Amino acid sequence: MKDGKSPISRRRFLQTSMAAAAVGAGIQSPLVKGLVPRANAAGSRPDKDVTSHFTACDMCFNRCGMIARKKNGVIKKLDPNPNCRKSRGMICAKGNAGIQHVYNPDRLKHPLKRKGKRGEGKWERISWEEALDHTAEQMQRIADEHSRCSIMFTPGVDAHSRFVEMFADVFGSYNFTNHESLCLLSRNRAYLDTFGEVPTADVLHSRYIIIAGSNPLEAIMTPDTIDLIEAKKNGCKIVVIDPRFTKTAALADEWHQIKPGTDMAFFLAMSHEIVKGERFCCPENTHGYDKFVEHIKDYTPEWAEKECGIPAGDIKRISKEITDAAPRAMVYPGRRSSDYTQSTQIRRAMAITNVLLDNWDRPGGLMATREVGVRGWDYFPPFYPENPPDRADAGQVPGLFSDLGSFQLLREAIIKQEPYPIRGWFSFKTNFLQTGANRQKTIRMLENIDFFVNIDIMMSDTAWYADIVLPGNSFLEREDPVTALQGSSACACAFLRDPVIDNMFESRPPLWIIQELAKRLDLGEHFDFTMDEYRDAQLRDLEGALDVMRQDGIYFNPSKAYGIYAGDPLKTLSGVKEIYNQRYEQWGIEPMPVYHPPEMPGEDQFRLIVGRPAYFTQSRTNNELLTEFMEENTLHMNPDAAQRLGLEDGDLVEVESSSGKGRLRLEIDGGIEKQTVYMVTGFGSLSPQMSQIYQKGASIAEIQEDAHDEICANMAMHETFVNVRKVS
Amino acid sequence: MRKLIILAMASAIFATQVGIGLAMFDGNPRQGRFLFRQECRPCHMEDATKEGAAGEYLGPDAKRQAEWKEIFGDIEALPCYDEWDLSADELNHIGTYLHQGAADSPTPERCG
Repeated sequence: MKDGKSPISRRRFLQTSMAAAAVGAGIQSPLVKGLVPRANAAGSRPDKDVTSHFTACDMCFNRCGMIARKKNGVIKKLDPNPNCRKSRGMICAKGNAGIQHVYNPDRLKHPLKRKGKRGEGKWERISWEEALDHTAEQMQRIADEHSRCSIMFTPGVDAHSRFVEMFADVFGSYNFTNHESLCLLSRNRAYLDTFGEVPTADVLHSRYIIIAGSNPLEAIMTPDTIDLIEAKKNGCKIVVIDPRFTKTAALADEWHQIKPGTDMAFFLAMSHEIVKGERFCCPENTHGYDKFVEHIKDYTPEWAEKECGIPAGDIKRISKEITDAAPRAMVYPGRRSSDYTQSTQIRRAMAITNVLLDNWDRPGGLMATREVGVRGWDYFPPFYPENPPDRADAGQVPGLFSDLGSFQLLREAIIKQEPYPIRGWFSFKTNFLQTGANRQKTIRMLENIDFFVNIDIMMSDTAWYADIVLPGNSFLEREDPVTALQGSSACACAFLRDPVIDNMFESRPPLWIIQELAKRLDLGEHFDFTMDEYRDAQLRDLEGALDVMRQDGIYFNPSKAYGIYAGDPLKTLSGVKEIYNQRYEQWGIEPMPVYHPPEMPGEDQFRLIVGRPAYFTQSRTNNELLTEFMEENTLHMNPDAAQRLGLEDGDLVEVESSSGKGRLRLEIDGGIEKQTVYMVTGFGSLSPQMSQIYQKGASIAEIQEDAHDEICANMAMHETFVNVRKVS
Repeated sequence: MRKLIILAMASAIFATQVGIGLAMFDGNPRQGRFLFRQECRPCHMEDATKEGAAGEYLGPDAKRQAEWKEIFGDIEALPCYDEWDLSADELNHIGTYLHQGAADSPTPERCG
């Protein structure tokens, strides 16, 4: 611990996070009970000087309910909010370590202006007044010289990101993107184009779950991660399909090691079996069933075995078992689907298998969006007739989400300055230099950016390349708008945050920053509201909800969970589940998933796959309490492959692709496919002010090649082939 | 009588042009969004205060693409049509915005 600055001891932290993780895992052993004193587990504190404050975690996207314990103006501990059904009254190690997020010595303390070259690290401390004036001047200059669309806006996952989106809208730029084109857009595309909306998974009530290309036991998703364990206790069978023996595989009843990139073959063969067995129950609620039967007639389990490596007998058995359990059965939709250039079609194959299981809008299956009742803020952005007609990344892939676009395509447009120049970048809490494949390309993109302003809590790699760095405040110093959440069958809920402590240093809320910039840009009228007024507008249909949130830390809407459609048409073109997608046909792409064998690595190469452990969220690794679990990332390699290369566990190796290279330690892993290597995200930082991860391990962004999904341009993070050599 | 015939012919030509334009939905959706908010939202929102307002949410995602096509194919049939002062191009912009963000569109969009 640095200079004893953190108010929680490492020992105490490890005890509590281990306990939280163990409780999260459903373990009720005497050891766990010993780690969690009864009074603590109940969420109470005998110390009369300690005050308790409801809040919600911000260490990942899940927003689990929390209670912050404060004494003498200092947050001493973060406890789970037992009222929060979405998180089942728990928080994970990351949530526990939220305290270090606030009291991190690496926090940005005041506005900074770049003095030297980008990435050189020479900064000048400036006042807020100067920083805001300069930012507004530069934004106006770019708008005048080029157009208002010549500034790219990229907010991260945050309650205040809606204000950045609104700012972009009011300012007049539709070159807006966020982390989603690096994460889950191809899953969203596939399910939207099959069911008309993106479902949540009713894990708790399911009897049979296939998890492919997803690792919810580590990449925590609430309530799914916790519900998987409960479901298993209730007799649910879990089958994991993955090239790597993940923590989820360890929980599962069965793990099948699949060749990376061949999941579609497995699911098409499953569909073949389900259809052949005439176990399908509802062709009248689908579009294109007959065409699909014809389409999959040659996708037999025997064919699939040759492609994906999973024995035909297992595919047949699993198909029978899951249809026996249907409709309380599912192919888990997962979250991050940014893996292959075919990722939308791979998820379409999974979604269609779900169609065949008839699990839509039913217990134990896929759930439609539940009513929460939180309303939007009505505002009236100006129209700028001099703007270009469309986004700079429009028209390059058929299924681009027109509101989100694609970071990679925007980057390409900025490098080429086509179809029009983009010369400014407004970033809040995004870190594309750690998360966007081909980091050197992102750095090249910056050569065409005249002005780059970055709001964050720490000097991320991306902030390190900015011209103006503005210190945002943390979630525990914030007044946030109401956030609505889908919690699967557990709940449809809403929460808000009030400040637990005052802003530290000179940090400021993002909304305040935007309000100040808007005033300087003559757009102040659009942001002339208080947070109370904003919340009142959000809750205008939910009388009493604000009081409930204040009393319990969370509001639940007892809305319908199943049968939401109740015979109404789905939001697809046909109004029913689209096995055969009509729009894909109009777009000139395959209306039903067609298997194209993935390119395989050469004899001396490996496919690089990536993921995250339970302790970190993507690049948010710079937390001393969490790097205690993992100080740097390693390269997982199959023992046979390592032996062939003469490598041993712990060797320093260099991993090189056509985009870049990185050095990290080798970890021999008997659970990984022979031509696949794996590493976790969030290391190999360029910014020396990320002291825990600076030059530790390797960055995925440095090594990954630049590929994206062919339909919606979601990043394809598993298309990179690497060579690995020992560093002598 | 001659004036009436000319007026009728002009109306027919205008209606045809509007029909063709709107059926194409090839306007500027961003301008359409602005115009929709300016011209339509004051009445078509849940808590509209304007006298005679519909008082129900209306936005792109309130209808399906086929429904928007049908509505704009016979736009004059709308009870509020006579209250508008919108050109055929402007109606096309609004139609394009609504059609592109319909509930069953590739990117469903909510207004407000």
